[in-house]
Amino acid sequence: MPDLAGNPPIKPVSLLAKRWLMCAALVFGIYNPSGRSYYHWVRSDDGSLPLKVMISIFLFAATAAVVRMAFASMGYRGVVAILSLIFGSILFRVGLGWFEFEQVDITTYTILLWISTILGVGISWSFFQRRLSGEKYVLKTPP
Amino acid sequence: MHNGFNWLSYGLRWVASILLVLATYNPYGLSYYDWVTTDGGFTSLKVLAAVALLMLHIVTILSTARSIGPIGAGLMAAFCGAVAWFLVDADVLQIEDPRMFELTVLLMVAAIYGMGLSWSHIRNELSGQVHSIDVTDFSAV
Repeated sequence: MPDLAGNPPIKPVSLLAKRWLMCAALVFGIYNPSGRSYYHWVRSDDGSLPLKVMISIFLFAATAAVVRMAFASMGYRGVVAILSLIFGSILFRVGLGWFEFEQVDITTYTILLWISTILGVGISWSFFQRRLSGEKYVLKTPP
Repeated sequence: MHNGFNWLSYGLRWVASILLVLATYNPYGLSYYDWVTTDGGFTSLKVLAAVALLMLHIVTILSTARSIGPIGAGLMAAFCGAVAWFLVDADVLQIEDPRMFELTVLLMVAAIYGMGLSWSHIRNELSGQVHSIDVTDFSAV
């Protein structure tokens, strides 16, 4: 059983890095513009149909699970907060004079990176909440 | 990481589910079902074993219904079906043999049981969220 009363110390960097890497692997594995992704593989003629169906169902289930867990921890406010933070960091770098605002180039890679960041932070968030305030994210029994 | 749930813990739950399902019924004639239907005698022991098996099944089914629910069980069944299809396509699994077909279905049920027992742990390890059982407003599952 998860220890509800305990408040064990966490390693924030490795905690976040592992989950963020996992989400990035999932997101970039499903689609990326380099041409080597699940999306391109499924549309090509390599591999048998059963293998494709198997991988498809696995990826669908994994994505559904990750998105549900991330969204349960964050909600809309969390998504907006992360996006604001990303936008703020762009503005900050513009403010530091690293590049002009017109030079900001939002590519598909950038969008995918943002999605994996949102998912990674969302999955890690309840650990931080528990460590910070001692509150746990508890799911009710389904009806 | 936080409760020590690892691949071994998942494997143990999976193996226990396989043992439970196959001990209740399997097509090779060495199961509780065959013991009850073919041999005579030992009625009291059979009743005891029936109660024990029923308890284990109910606990497992309720855990599965609470943690992954019908959607998760459906996804798990679809994934197992796809794995079976892949193995059949690769000529590893011969389901023309009806006993092999039954065994495949039973192993799929066991895989759903195993994931149902493990998913709360996995979710807690991944995201820190905790599944709970509401004992105040007691629900059916």
